[in-house]
Amino acid sequence: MRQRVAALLVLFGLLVGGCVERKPTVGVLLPLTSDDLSGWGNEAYEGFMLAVEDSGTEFQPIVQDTGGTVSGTIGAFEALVRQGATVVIGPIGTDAAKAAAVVARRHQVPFLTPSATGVEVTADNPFAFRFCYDDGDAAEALAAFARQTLDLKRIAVVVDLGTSYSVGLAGAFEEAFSRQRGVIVAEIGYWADDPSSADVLDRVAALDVDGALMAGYGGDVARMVRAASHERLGELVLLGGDGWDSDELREILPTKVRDAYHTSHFHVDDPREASVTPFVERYTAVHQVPPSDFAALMYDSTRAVLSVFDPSLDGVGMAKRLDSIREWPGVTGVISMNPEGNPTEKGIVLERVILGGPSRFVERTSR
Amino acid sequence: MPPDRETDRSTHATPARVVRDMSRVLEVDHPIDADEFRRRYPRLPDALKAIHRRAERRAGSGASTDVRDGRHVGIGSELDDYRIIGEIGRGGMGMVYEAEQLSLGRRVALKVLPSGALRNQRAVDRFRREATAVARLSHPRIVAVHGFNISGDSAYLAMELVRGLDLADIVDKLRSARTHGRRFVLISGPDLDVDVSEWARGRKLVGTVPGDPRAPEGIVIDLRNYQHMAASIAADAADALRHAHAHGIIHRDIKPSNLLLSENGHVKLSDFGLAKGIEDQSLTKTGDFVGSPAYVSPEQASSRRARIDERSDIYSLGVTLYELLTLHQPFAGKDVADALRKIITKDPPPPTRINPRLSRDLETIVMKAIEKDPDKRYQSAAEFGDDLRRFLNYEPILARPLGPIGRLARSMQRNRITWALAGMGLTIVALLAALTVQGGSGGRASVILQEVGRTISDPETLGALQSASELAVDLSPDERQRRILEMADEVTRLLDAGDLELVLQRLRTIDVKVALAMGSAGAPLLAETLRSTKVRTVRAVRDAIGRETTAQGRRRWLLALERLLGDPDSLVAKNAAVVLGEVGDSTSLGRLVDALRERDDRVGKVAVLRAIAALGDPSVAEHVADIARSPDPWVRFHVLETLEALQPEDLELLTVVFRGDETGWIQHRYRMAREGDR
Repeated sequence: MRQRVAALLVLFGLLVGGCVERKPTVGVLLPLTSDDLSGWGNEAYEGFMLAVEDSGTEFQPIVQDTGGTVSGTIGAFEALVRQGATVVIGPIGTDAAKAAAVVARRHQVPFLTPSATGVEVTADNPFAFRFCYDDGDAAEALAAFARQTLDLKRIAVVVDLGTSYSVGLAGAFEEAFSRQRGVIVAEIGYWADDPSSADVLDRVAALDVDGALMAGYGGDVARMVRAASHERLGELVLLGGDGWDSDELREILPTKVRDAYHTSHFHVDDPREASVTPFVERYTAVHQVPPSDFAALMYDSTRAVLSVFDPSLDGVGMAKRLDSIREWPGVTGVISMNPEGNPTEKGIVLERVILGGPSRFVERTSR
Repeated sequence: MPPDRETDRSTHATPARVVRDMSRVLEVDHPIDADEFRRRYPRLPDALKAIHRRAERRAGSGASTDVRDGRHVGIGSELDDYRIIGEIGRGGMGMVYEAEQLSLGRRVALKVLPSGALRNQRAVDRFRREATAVARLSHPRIVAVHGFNISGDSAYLAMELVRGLDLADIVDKLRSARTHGRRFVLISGPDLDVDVSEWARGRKLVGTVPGDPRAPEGIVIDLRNYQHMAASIAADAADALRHAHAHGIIHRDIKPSNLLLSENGHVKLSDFGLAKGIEDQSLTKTGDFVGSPAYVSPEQASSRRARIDERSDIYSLGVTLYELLTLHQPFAGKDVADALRKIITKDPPPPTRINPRLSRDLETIVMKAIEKDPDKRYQSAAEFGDDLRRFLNYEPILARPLGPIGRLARSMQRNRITWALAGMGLTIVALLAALTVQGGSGGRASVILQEVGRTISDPETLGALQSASELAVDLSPDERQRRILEMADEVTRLLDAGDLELVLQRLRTIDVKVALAMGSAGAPLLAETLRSTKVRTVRAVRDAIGRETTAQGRRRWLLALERLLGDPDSLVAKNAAVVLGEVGDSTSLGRLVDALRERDDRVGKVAVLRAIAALGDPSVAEHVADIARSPDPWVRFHVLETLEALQPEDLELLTVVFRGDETGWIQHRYRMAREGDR
């Protein structure tokens, strides 16, 4: 159903885009039809729609589907430029955002990714912006939590070698954990679609470790947890990043390991955000489910872009507008852009995975 | 006689004893049991070789003794204050004996000029020059002269006796010794194949074994520290040259056989027979070639008049170090003329091409020392020696490697014809491009393509040039981008179809095509679009290696992985490093060491370090230590972990490199490594 809706929206976007070609507008890049990413893409789309509605504007951005691939992202970004986009919201993943950065620089059209955490996404590029913390920040927070709160001393790191996100998060965590006098016992690589990676967690359990960082995406981690059977599994604490946003993983983890924690961008129980409750209530009323990280980040990103969008400006002008965002109140935190296109002081949420329910809010840390 | 005792005695068998025993066996007239004889005399082959060598010497010199003034110069004879004890060697200038100086009771090396040579004024001059030159010098790294006499029919030079080997011997022995899989190798003594690993393990070896009664007989080389030993020898030799140059003397014949390595590991510079004063500004005359062909500087080798100064010695010492490190002469020729021609015209292969495990810093030092232009070399022996010591102390060296542009410029200077042809190739590309623009010129284009096709036989290269030309002429950036995406898609489709060979072929040329067409602007787009395909290619190659049944086929796939290791994208490089760490071989290890030096991204560097640790070959520990001066603490941290993994029993290098590291968490990790508290 979601895919059908998304396809219709894309068609609509193309038609509208075709009709209003070259009129300055806002573009949106999301993976709406990808097998792997469409779940997150559609959650983000729902956050986008709510933001458009809440902004009270008649103005309708153009949405393009990336198909969840790098080449699809490049083609979709190009299409948005042809259709007159002078600023783009999205894409949501690190690899797609890195590709978007190349196109953005070439056309001098800025993009704001709500959720791509790869450090290099915004590096040395005046047209690349993000509304979330990066992997370095998340890794610092996670490493400090693991060492100081959980007192984990010896950790294995399991990394998806096929994604920049996983490799980036794993590397940053290893460095941060080592700086905290922790020991990285091993880094074990896998490829998500490689059947031989099923036993990775058993290999981890066979090591002399207190736990492991599973730096991949939630669905892949869930598959590995499900396949694992080592007798020491129940002694391990597993850690993850924001890519763990997976119901499947939340269900299986508490039944297999001693404990599990992961970072995220947003939690409905975050007591420090006064704006969270109204947003959660509105979103839940519309969609019958509480908002996810992607929905919340996209909601913030869309409202922020629409608040600074000026149809009289070209891409360079819009980049300056994004650059000038200060103290902007979002549901995921208060955002001020630094000169590198990253938000300053974006909080990092830590969640604990518990049996029989949604993850529990643990704490929110600042960089 | 008990067999054991007989065998024991046989280990000291002299040729004479062997012959005597053989005669005795023959006398009792019973069949010779060859196996029994070999058991009794396990070193018989060496003894027989010694007999043969001695016979050769006799044949070569006419006699091992010299008759002068009615006196025999031979073992036991006396020459003035010296009694001959034994032969050391035979050089171009006559025999060298070990002798006792009777008045002082000390052992010396006595170089005796053959009586016939006394009629050769040039030889006498050379002999005198050596004596007077060295007499001005007093340096622990220069063989001292104790006495000299040249009068009538008698000419000899009494010198400091150095027990050991010259570097030419060492290179020869290393070329022939079984070094594979060994850390320690015995390069002198009766049996080179003795495995000395057990004896040497845990001992600190600078390169040779000082008089340890338990030590194997001979000089032991620690192969793991070999390049540092070689650099240390060259640094000491540079010190000797600094002293000689400071006293106004140019040696002019620096080569391995004139550098002696004593048994206590010290190098000594000898044979100043061709030495010349720096102040003597007379030019080398045409055809007046002096020195040893393989080691002379281009200005010495040149037929043109050229000024020879101390930088010629620096060059020759650089060539010597090159040979020590690679066991190859950089300018080996089929004859003297060929060698001299190469010295003047050819660039030697970089040492790491011959021995990939060598330090790139050390290579840079060597290549600077053997620059053809004296102005580009180290300008003094002090500069040369100081840079070598910086390398030995893990400090940044001052020499800078010649970059690609520098190499290109030098190559263009020397190989004008080749570059003219290359220019023609580029012209063809441009012409093709122009013809492609002119839509109606397809016929002419095909004619030219046929011509190009006759010149360039490799269809892949031809195809790459052709499609690059098409990309180059397409003036629309959108269209260029579209074609790049198409090319990337094509590679992905080929991979999906399982045509791995073709994928690798396309990946080899696609960067070139895009660079030709779009310059650096196309690279980021290509990198983004091909990243996941390249990662999948690494996996496909890994699977292919798993299926491969032949060593040759396996190496071919490993080569493909090694190429992917050089990819500028750190994710691709990391994938290649991980797989090479699992399935790589010793050649891959060399490529990993190269990658360690070449990569400037921390993800790639750390991945390469992990792969090196996974392969676990301690012989590359020094190369790993070379990058410990990285300003990035995360890289240094991995250097520490890698060294710890490579040297579980010997933490000496770890200590040298990390004892003073001021980063707290690295220091903490270092202490854990020292204490073995994992």
